[in-house]
Amino acid sequence: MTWLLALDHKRVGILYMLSALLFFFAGGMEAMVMRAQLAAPNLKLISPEIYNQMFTMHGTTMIFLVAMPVLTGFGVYLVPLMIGANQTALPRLGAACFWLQLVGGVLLYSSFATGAAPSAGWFSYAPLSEKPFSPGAGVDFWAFALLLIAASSIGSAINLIVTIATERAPGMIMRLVPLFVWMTFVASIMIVFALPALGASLVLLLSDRLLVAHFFDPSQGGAPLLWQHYFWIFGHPEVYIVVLPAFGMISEIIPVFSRKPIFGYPFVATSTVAIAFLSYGVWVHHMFAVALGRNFLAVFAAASMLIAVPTGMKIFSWIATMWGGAIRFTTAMMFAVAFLLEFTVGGLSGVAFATVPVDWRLTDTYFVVAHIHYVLFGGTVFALLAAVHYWFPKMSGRMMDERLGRWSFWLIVLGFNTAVFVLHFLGLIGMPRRVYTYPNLPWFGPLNLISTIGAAILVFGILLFCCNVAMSFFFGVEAGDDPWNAWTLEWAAASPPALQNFTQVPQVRSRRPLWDLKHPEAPDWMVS
Amino acid sequence: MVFLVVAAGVIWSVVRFRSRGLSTTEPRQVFGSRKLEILWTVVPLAIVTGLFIVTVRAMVLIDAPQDSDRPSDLVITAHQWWWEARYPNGAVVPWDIHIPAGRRLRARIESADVIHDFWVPDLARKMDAVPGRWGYIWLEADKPGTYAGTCSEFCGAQHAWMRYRVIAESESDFEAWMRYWKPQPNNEDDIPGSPVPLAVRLFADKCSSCHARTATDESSSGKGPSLAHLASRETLGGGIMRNTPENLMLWLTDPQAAKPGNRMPKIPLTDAERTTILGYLESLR
Amino acid sequence: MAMFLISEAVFFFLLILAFAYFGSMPRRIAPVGWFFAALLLLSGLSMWRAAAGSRLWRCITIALGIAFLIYQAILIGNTFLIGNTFFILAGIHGLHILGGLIALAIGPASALRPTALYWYFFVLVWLAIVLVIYFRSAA
Repeated sequence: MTWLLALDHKRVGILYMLSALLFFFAGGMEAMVMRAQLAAPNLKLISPEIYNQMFTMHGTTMIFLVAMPVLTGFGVYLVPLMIGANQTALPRLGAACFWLQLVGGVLLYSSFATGAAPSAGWFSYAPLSEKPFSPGAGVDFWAFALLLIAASSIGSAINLIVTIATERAPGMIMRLVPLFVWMTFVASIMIVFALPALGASLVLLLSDRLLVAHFFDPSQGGAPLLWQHYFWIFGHPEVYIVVLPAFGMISEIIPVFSRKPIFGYPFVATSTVAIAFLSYGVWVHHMFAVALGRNFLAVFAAASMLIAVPTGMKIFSWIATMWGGAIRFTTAMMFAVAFLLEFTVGGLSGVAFATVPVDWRLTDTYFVVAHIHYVLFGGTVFALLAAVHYWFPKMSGRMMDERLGRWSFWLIVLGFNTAVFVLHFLGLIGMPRRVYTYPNLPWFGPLNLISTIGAAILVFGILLFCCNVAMSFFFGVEAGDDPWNAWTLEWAAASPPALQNFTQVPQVRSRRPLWDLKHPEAPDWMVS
Repeated sequence: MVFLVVAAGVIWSVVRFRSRGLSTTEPRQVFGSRKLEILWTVVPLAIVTGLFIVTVRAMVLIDAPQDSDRPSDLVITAHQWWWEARYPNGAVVPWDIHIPAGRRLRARIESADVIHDFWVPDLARKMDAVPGRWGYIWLEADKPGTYAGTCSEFCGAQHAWMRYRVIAESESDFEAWMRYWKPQPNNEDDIPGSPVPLAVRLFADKCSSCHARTATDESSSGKGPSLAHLASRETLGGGIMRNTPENLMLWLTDPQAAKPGNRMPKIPLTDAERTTILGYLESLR
Repeated sequence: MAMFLISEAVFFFLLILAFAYFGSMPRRIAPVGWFFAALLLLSGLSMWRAAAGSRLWRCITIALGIAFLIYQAILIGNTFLIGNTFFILAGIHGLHILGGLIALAIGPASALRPTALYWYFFVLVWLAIVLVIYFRSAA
């Protein structure tokens, strides 16, 4: 009961994580329904309308009700602990935003009850999403729910920005904050600049649908492309928003389990800012197949290729961190290492799309589906899995089971790669995306079947992971304050932390305050 | 190749530098290296610059000029959920687009309703069909053959079944086909004064408000694909089923069962009427 | 507050852009429209005095704000073209003004400065909208 009125950042963070987990199951079920329907050519397990609802809800759920909330949750939970504060700067705002987001999610899902879930895709292109072509209330549910969720995101971003700006422990100047805090900071600023574009797009769409406006209706002087521009001006920064905090998590985990500091902190931090700026200049790469003019497209192709450079820098930094270290293979580390490989695959397929002529062949095929799932699942979700294994002891006071962890790791890696890698080939041989079934062309059936089987394995791995979390919560070995011998401030608090996180905050003179405490003969601040 | 470099780096670190035993001494704490940072910024920068140059050159080669004052060889219109091509001589051809092989054609892609995408992987780049705008592509087949195409931008319930074909043939075969489709003088069943056969009358009554029945038929609204030469087609409904009398009868009985979500309403017909219309459609070679 | 206003800035900027480009804007601004826009500007000044803590100026700001909103309500209510897209913009702006008024009326003293900032911002937004209409109709 006290949880309903909770203001403590730790409780709000956990609420976010639990709500995200719930929606993750919903989104996962939607995915499994689709994979079942696609397991063989010409199947008729579900109608085309239901299939279209499935992929619309799957995308919308995973991005807006899973990825963003869970990263917000981790941010809200960890940032105060990592900067030596006892709470966020605006706890009431923080708690309200959680509930707002939940209401948005419930609103979205209530559309199923009316029989009219949205079915125009998670980015709802006009004119398909306009009244004449989507007469049911589905798109209206979608738009209103997203308005609430967007407002919630902006609110929690403001909370995090103010917290990081004002609540840092004495001695922790911005140059010394843990990378997770830095990435969360940058991502939150990006949210403030990007989510309003989504808000504006939704207002325009709702005006068209409910108030007889004509923004996207070409017969009345409107332009369908306006939707695409406005949406992707939001949409592209959005995907970096959901990946930067994941980068932050990896930047905390790899050093601890390599027993070395992060390689090139200033470059990792600066490249993050570069990514943030560049991400606002690439949105047209979602529209390369539209006749927009070669020179116009070329500019965005250049920017899209450019953004790969700071991203690649980070991968090299993480490898260099491991190099020369003494690597401990906890489950958290295994997921972090897998992240490096998976995200690289996803990043490279992204650069393929920046190459406009390649995009002219592969856009809107399963090659895109492969790309997005490698960066979003192989990237963000893998980082989250690592983060759960890493911070679970801090949050619950107990250790997760390493054997179950290894089993779930291998099953997830096997299932995910089987399910998604073949999608690259399906795209190359010509399978478009968002189709409820396909003809019996050579290899279409077998590759789809392989993907479906992989998905089933992945589900099993995820369930094993959830079992691990649940069982460890009740029966896990006691963890103590600092089970991993780590170096950032959260490990100086109790596990789980008391309501007031710190009775006394350790002195902060470098990026690794606990290293300094444990190694008074060679503290960081003496080296650099 | 980049992946192999990264993977090698990851796997080598992981194998070479794994912790051995319970040593409590920490490895050498390295914070960074400016030289290395510069190296792995400059090299990727060079790679993407090269990639960009290649990209722009390819774009110039592939892309057709987008100016609309030049006439196009072909106008391809996307509908929910079918395609049609308009030829310079006025012929309107649904689904199977014939072109002469060996000639580079400029096709204009447009849409009558929502955004679609024209995609024939073997012959041309993708081009979005955006209502209110025109996009131009080069369409060129080196050799005669049948090339499959599909819609490549989600456009609603039956996006999956908008599969068409581009059929490239020799110049002489193409000419013959054009003559076959080219607007014909009226058939004898349209000769004024002669009794109109029951089938044609039935068609005019029940079907022609949406469907054209010949290449010259201007009476329909174009809400549905033209049924001219229907019997010569291989598939129905954009590839959803083979063109057989049974399948065609399904369209006359229950269009929603044939292609769920499509816009054809159930036309009230008696069994006799259905059989008559079916017979007529089968005669449209 | 600054962060919040930045997000609102992006939102309104994009909306105004879309409206300017596509929406049906009023042909011209009636003299009474200029009058009420001026009133709103004045309320910005009175808000400045109110932020210093003066209760009198606070009331004046609220009064000016209410007057503006009543004018907006009548304007919107009287147009039969509810689809006239300009009024969506005015409506959303008006709702934000209403929120500001409520905050000004019942908020604690510590909220005065952020509320003032918020108010200035929305006065400026209205100014921007009015100017866009003016220049567009002049073009």
